[in-house]
This record gives sequence, structure tokens and C-alpha cells, in this order.
Amino acid sequence: MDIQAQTQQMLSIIYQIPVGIVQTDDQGTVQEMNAMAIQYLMPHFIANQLTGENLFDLLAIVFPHALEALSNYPKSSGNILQQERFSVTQGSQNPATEQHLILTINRLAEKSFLFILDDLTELYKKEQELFAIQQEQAVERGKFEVISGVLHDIGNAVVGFGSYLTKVKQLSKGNDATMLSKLAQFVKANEAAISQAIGVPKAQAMVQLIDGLKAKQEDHMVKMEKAITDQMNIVTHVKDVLNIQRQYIGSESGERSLVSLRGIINDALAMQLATLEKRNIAIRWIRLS
Amino acid sequence: MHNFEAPDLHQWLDGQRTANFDHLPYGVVQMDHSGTVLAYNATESSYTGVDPQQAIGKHFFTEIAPCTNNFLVAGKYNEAALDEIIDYIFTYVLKPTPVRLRMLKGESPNMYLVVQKR
Repeated sequence: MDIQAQTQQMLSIIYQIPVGIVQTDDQGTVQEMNAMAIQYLMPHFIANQLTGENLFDLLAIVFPHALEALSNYPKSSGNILQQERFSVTQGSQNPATEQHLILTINRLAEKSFLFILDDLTELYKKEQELFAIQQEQAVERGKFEVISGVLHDIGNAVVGFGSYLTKVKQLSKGNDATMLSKLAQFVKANEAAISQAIGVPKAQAMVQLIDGLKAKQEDHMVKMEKAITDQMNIVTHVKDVLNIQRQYIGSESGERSLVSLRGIINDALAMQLATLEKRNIAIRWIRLS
Repeated sequence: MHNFEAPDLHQWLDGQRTANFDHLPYGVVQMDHSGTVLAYNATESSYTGVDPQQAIGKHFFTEIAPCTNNFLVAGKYNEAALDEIIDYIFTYVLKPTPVRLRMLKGESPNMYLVVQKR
């Protein structure tokens, strides 16, 4: 490759360097500047009515912290600032665009500084989009947790309600009707003796009254048992519906929210209330400390 | 010969053979509407060091002069019609060179970036 071709190749490389490079003296006068630095900085020079000949003039406006770091740097060479991010709006000429740059400053010598710039605007936009998506996901996750919690609480309440219904059903079984039936039998068996005591009409009236009460109570108990059975069927149906809803809510990944242990135990006790009472089991809370 | 600020510079350049661009005292880059370099005159080459033959066929704003690849210069060529002069800085290798840019675009198939040292 001849010298001319090598030179052109070198120029291509230099002009295509993807970061901005500016070398200034200790007053900020630009001595070397590559194409990418001009691409990044010219809009800001022009927006701030600067000629582009002095970088410190621009930094004083858009990133004064960099100048401060530079002026406070005690050594004659070394790294002053390492990839510090700063944002600049592109002024009235392009108000929709905020540019996000990172800047590294190295002191090359007593009166020589090297500034290296990179444009992170696209990366910043992607970060913002990702953050917005994460926020949306967090809100959706929160909604799922609320819905899931509500379904869980409703489910427990329904199960507890079913337990109480079972208890009512058990209480309703036979006691009053059975006792009345025995009373009716007793009165009928002793009608003759009762007639002697209170008279035949009154004894017959008593028998009829007790028979009537017994029939009414039996009828009442049948209807109550039917009503309780119907309610328990409804409770079962609601539980089935809740189970189906829980399937659709599904299991959202992520941490479960904190739950109340007392609430869980109370829910479990409510579910088993009828069984516990049937077996004469009583539950008490005891504070240990 | 038309000077840098001649009002009908665009039409005049369109009427010239590209070989004549080398006699002009200002840099001339002729592009098609996609930004591909069609002509790159000697004056422009003296400002940037880029050989005209290396420039022709390449995309001007991304491959030849990335310093112009922003809304101030390249972005302006998205407009249908353009005739604007701005002060800018080019680089000769790494040496910043203050220039004036005249950006030209119209109905003709060619668009131009005309460059004059300040």
C-alpha cells in the first residue's frame, strides 16, 4: 500500500473514531478535536453563541462540575474525571432533544488536557423505556396480588360460612321435633289417665294440640333442612367459582407479600369449626409473653 | 464564477461539469438525495485531507464527515428545500478548522455542501 493510500486509510480511521476527543491547553483553547467531538459539541457551542474555539467556555455553561474538578486537580498529569454523566438540552434549535453524554478528563501535562466524550442518549432512552415497563409490571403485579388476596379472603370467608351452616344443620337435627314426638306419644298413651284428670274434651284437645305442634315442627325442620342444604350448595358453587378465578389469576412470579399468621390460623379454625364443635374441641389463644 | 454567497449558486453548480469544481476557491461536495458523494472538489480535499476518489460513492455524513452528522447539518437535508449558511468547524485530521457551510437542496437530483474557510 503506497503512502497516499495509507494516509487515506489513517484519515478514515481517525474520522470514524466513535468517541469525541478534544485536546485543549490550560485555558481551554481547543488544539485538537476529532470529527465525533464536533458532531456532539457544535450544536451546544452554537446554542450558547460560542465560536467553538474554547471548550472551557462551553463547560462553564453545560457542566460546571467538570471545570471545578479540573481546577482543583493538584497533579501535573493523571485522570481528573472518569466517565461522568451529564445532560444537555440542545437549545431552542432542537428543543425536543436532550443529549446525555459521558465525559472523561485526563491531564496530559501541566498545560494540556484531554477530554473524551461519548453519547449515551440512545442508551438513556432505552433505560427509561425499561424503567417504565418495570413500573407497569410492578403495578400489574400489585393488582394481581390484591386480587389474589381478595379472592383468598373471600374464599376463606365462604368456607367459614359453610362451616357455620353445617353447624346450624347439625343443631337443627331432630331435637325439638323428636322431643315433641315423644311427648305426643306419651300423651296418647296416657290419654285415659289425663282424661280422668282434666276431662275428655281437654285431654283430646291436648292430644290434638301436641300432634299439631309436632307436625308443624316436623314440617318446619324439613323446610329448614332444605334451605340449609340449598345454601350449602350455593356455598359450594361459590367456592368452585373462586377456584376457577384463582386458576385464571395464576401464580405471578415474584415475592409473596407478608401475611398475618393470626389471620391464617383464624381462617383455618373457621373452616373446621363444625368439626371441632362436634368433637367438643375448644381453641383458645394464649399469650406467652 | 459564482461566489460562495451567490443567490443562484445551486442552479449554477448543477449546470457545471464536476471537473470544473476543482477550480473553485471554496469546497464543494455534491451528493444525491441519499447523501452519497457524487463529487468532492480539490479545495474541499485541501481542507480535510480526504482524497476525492476516496470520497466518491461513500455516504458523506457518516463516512466522510461524521462531524456533520447532527441536526445542525445532516438533519437539515431532510427538508425539501434548503439554502442556509452557518458557521461551523471542520477537522483537518484533528486540527479544528473554522469554516462557513452553505447547505443547498432543491428540486434537482443533486444537493450540495459548500465550504469556505473563515
